[in-house]
Amino acid sequence: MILAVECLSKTFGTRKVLKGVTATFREGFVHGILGQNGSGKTVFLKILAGVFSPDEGAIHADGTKVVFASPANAVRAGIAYFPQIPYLPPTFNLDQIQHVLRRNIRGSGLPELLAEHSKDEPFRHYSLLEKEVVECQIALAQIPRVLLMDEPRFVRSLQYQDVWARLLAYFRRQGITVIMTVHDLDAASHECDELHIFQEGRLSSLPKTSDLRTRVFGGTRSVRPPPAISTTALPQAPRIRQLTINTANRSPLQFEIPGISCVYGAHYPLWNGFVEESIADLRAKGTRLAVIRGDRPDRCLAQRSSIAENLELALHRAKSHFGLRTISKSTSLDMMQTVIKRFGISPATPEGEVGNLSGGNKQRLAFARASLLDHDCLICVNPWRGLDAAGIDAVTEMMIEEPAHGKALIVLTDDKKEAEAFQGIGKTVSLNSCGIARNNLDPQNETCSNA
Amino acid sequence: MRLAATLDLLELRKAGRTPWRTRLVTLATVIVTVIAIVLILATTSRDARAFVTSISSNFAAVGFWVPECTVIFVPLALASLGVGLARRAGFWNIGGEAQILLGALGGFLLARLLPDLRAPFSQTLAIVAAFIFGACACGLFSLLKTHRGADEVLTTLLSNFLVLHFIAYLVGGPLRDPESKWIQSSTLFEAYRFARISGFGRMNTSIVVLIIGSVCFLLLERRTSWSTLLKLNGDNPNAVSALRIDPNRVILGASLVSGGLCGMAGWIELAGNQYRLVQDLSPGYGFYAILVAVIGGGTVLRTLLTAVVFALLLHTIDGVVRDAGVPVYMKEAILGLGLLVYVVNERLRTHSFVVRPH
Amino acid sequence: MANLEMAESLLRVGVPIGFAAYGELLLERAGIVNLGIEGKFLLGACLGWLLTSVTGHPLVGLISVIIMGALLGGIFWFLIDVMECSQHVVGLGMGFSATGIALTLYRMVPAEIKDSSLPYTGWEIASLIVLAVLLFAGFILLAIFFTRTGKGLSWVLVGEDARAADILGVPVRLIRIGASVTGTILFFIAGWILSVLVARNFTLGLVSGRGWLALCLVILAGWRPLGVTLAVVLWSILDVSQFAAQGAGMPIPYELILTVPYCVCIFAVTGFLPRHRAPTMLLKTYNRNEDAA
Repeated sequence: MILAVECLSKTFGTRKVLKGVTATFREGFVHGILGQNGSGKTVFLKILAGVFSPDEGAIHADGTKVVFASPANAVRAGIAYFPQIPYLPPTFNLDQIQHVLRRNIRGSGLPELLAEHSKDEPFRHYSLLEKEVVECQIALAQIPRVLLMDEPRFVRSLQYQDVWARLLAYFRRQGITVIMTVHDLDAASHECDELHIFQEGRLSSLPKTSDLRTRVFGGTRSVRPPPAISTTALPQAPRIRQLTINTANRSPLQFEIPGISCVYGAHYPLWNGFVEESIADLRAKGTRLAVIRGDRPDRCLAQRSSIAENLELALHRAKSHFGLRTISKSTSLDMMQTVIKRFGISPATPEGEVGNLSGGNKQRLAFARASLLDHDCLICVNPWRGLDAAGIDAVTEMMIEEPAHGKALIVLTDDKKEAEAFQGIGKTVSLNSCGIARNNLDPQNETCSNA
Repeated sequence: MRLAATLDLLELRKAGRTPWRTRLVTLATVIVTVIAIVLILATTSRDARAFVTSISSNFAAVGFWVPECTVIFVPLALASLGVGLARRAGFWNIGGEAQILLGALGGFLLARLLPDLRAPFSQTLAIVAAFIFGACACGLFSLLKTHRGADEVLTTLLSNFLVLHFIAYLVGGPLRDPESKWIQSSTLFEAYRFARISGFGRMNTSIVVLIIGSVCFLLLERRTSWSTLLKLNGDNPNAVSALRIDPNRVILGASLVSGGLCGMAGWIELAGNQYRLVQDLSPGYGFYAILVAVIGGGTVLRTLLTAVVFALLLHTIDGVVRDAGVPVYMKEAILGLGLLVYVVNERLRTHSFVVRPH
Repeated sequence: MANLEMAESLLRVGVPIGFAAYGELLLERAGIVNLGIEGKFLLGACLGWLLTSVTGHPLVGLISVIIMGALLGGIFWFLIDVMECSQHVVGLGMGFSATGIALTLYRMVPAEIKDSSLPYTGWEIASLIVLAVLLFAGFILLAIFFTRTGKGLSWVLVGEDARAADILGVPVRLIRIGASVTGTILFFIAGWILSVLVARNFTLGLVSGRGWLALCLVILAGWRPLGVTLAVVLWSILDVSQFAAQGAGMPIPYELILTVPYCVCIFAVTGFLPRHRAPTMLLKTYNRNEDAA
């Protein structure tokens, strides 16, 4: 099936995520889609899969326009979908899923790619990669002409290399078009026949040239070195303390308070779980944390409340920092305006509802709030995500001043730009595919002892 | 399969919350609701003329309807403040009826325990006892929610029936009035009652409690950050734990105060109006408080204003029930329809329907 | 003789609750909680009894009750699935409205109809027996349905993870409307059974907590059809023996005994049971257009 899209647009609320995407995907080839986090890759795939409906534009299959009312429609048209977050529920097992498939979609049974679990074992016993492989099986059981894969991690893992090779051979034999979103540039150039890149809501095709890296990630951004910690400015001498993250299966990572550290985890398949576990671990040890999640700025902000309400309690926490006993209404309004201006939150009205802010502005708000809190350690997960150049400057300035206030800054990121930027000014480690820390930003794949 | 496809066509999407849309929807809802209530009541009354005359007679004399409405307003407003507070913090307190009854019980037991106490000590202590009883009744369920994950809507709702039967047992047995043939408790001692304000009909001094309480909560709202903390918690508990405040503690505090307020409302109903503990002490204030709280929003002034409107409405319906033969169960039907209307209004204010291309 | 009476009482207690529990089980397995069972029970009882008294044919009552149940089930589904309103509030609202309407209807009915309670013919017990057998068979079929058939597993999947169901091609909305309509019809039928077959009359306190009981039996039984059957049977035995004990002069006051169902319910909901058995989608809505992943 020759799949083509024409002027596809999609808006969520006030955010226009896809702005007139036009592309043709040649039949039988493996297409790779690159792009920054949040550039619209997942939304695009979901439109093709029939989950979302486009606001403008059309999808053409073999020249005729098709409209999908539901994912089931897309499947019947011959498009199978593999989502970014695995969907197999923990209480179900493979046998039951087969029943469901057979009842709802024509299915041919599942090809045997996985022999380690019996059919009756519930999915909670499966690892993430195993779940991905099963989902791939399910997608293939739907006898598709087009397979859409959203960030398949098992493709890059060592233990499923031969499985992936067999799959690739199967795709080429059957003439199945594969559209895959990728993060790893090396894999992209190796396996994909054609590359496309998402930038600012538009898709353009990418020749496989040598400047691929710069095209995708842009130039590296240098960060100016942090101001030196002057002991006279602080009330007491800063104690250099050690923070340890102890999580299962991997070597403990140590960080200094005060200090700047960065952990880069793009190669580690279980990165998201690692982030959650580390934060929980540090919290459980009683460290006073402030957490900012660039990947999900909504999570710790109250969407239906105003900017002022979100900042109010942090402001009262900070009043001792400013040396005040109480803060009157007018003073607190002034201080809020100062903070809002410092971080460039727009629109700058304190009564504005947080839910109406764009993702980047929500993130700035999160930083603004963190700047007022008293904590030992600031953890930033993908801090630059969704911010433009001015925003990046503003938040980075705040971040690198943390040691001057006696706090630790830990940046957890899977974005190479951020990792490279912080490499010069703080201790940087990266996790390889087994979760072991290495000191360089391109760790090799090693055989891991346990899956 | 075509049925399935047809069902999938209608999608709900978040519309931009433009001011004109919100106001239009709300206006339409209010108009439709008023007309519907009038129509429903009119059709279930004996005849239309009796309906109209009963309304006009019930509002004829200011000296009549103002105290009557106040008697409804004071407990309703207190309970609504309580339920609104809990809701602001993200805790649905459906157990208002139970807390009202238990608060009344608390004050009553104190009166039995200390019969010789004089006013104003008696009244103050009784209010405190009512507050404590009500607070415990609500706080228990918030603990069950935070520590055992029990859905508070279900547990507080069930507590209503539980406490209702428990009070029926007490009033029919240990606390029964030996001299009366009705199933009720003995009357409350004079020292514990709220005195009637002379010249104002049935209005009594409990309005002082409401005024003090409202002023306290207004000050809390304007001068401290407690109200903002509750709102943040109701909005997103993660926003509160980002400030390193435990959201469970916030909910517990809010539910204790909420239950206490409902308990006080129950005591006011007993000590200011009925002077006896009976199973039917609360004419549904616990449930109407929910409606007032969701409509009135989280602020003190708006809740009070909505409670005034509801007191007027309830007075009207009582009159119509008494004089025009409207069945008393219409109150419950109107409550249910009010909840449905509210929930539809809330959804339509911010969302719109889109027909998916097919 | 006493055993026969005991069996009869068991049927009269168990069958209405069994039907209501069946309906709620269908709903909860699709991820929907209905907090208005009491109201619908009462409305079913009132309508069924009214129409049976007026026309003299119990089946007319049954059919009208089924139609009403389908209508209200459809409205419930629309408010919850398409408009995505809070299941709590909609359920409560419909419950209160139904109670109010039922009792108002009862009040407005002229006195002659009210006073003539239907005489007992021999058919009631026979119908109850038939219905009980149908109920048992229904629960067994449901157990097979939910574990072995593709359609049943799709239903369970909708209650577990609607996103997965959507991706696997399951018609989520169709299943939810099916659950809603069937469940509400069963609540209304349960009410009809109560007023037409069991009590042969309609009084204000007819339902008195049976709706909540059905809800909590489903939770206590772990959302499994055979478990619910067992729970209904056990409860019937308990209820019947309470009255026997009452007659024998046990010291527990009647009012306190009435609190037992509610205590049981609160206990059930408070999660002293392994909670992972609850359908994960309970009280959550799925809108594929808002899915953030």
